[in-house]
Amino acid sequence: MTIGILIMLSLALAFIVFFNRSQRKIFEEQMRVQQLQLEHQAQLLYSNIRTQEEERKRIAKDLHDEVGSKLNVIHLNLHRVKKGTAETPTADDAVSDMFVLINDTIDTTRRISHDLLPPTLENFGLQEAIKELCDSYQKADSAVAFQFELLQNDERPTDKIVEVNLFRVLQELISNSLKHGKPSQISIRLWLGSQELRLEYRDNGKGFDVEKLKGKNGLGMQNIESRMKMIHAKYELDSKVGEGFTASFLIHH
Amino acid sequence: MHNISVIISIIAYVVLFLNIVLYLYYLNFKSNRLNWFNTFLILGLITQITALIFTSQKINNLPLLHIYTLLEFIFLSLFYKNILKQEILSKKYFNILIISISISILIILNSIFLQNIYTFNSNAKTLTQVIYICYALTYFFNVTLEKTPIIKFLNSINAAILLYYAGSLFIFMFSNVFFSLSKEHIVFWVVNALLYLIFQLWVFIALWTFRQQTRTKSISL
Repeated sequence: MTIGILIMLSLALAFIVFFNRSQRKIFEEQMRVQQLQLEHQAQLLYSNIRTQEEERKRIAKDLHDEVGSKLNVIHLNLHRVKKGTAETPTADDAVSDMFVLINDTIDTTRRISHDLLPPTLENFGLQEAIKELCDSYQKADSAVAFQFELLQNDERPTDKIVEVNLFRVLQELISNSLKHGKPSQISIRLWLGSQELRLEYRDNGKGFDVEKLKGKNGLGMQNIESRMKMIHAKYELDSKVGEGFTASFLIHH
Repeated sequence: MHNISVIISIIAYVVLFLNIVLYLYYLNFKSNRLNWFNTFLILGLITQITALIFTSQKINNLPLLHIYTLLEFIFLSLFYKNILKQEILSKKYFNILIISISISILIILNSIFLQNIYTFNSNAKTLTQVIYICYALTYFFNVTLEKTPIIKFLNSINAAILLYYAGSLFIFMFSNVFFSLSKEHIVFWVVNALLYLIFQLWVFIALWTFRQQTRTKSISL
């Protein structure tokens, strides 16, 4: 009788312990698989971003070198044609129209190529590219005051991948601010230290409740997250309704 | 020895009362499918209070055990019917409703023809306890891998059910023998009281843990 009770109790206890252990093992295995899947997804995303950047670079180069130079040749030839059509008003008008069209096309090609990969970023680095970016936005929208400050420059060369990704993130942030925040001022501050690179972005727009937006990131925000993870940057996004938006990034060299 | 059993039982019923209150507060209004377990707990308390009244009036309280066994079986079966996955119940293994109705009829027949209401219904108790052990094992073999507070709570409750009913199976199986030799075998009732206290404490810990885990999270039932 006592033995029966003890056996039943031992069996029940053994079963519970076995159940707990196997549950934990299965759970750990699931977590491991999930982690691997996440890492794989992150790798895919990084390679996507990398391919995207390479493709942008190639298209920008092709547009500039191939299409752009050929358009310039057409432009020059058109000058020669124009000389010969001075006495024929109809032909002269047609050539003038073509001039306008060609000039527009050359400008558009240059702009697209420039947007795809700013040559300033490629040739002169992040600080010059940000300066240029601010200038271009300032010209396009005078209602917003753009301010850029370089607060430290230790002349340490920065990794091109880091520069390109930070630049893209800045483009995304400015675009978001103008679209949703309606700010009157956007300021960007950059520290190029010997050990670390720091970037701070701030607008005085409408702001939003960060808690409400958690888990509902749009593509733009996802893109920012992926790019920052890719370059192992620490970042913080902060905003409150009516108090604008702040983002800060820190990258150790 | 009898005093020890009484003291343990009193502590167990105090914990049982706390469990009912906690259960009502944290679970009853959040999920209908878990209400049957609390109904089972309430039944235990009501039966115990009624048994004490009967004893004080010097009335044989064994008929209460017959009613308790039947109702306990119905409530626990309904509880398991709700928490076990539907496909297990209807297709793969068994239909819990048919089993419950059949066993309930057997319990009633046992009380009428085999062990009258003034004797210990060891047959019915043994049969139902074996079924509870089967329910608990079925649950464990088919439990989901989710780690939500409610699943953790159900896992704990099941472990408590398995331990208590497996441990006390032999005690109830031979309860008629103990009744005739009560002094020599009182130690088994102490063991049963102790197991019941452990069962109630286990449920209490499960409810407390559930409370802690759902304080900040919303529950997905």
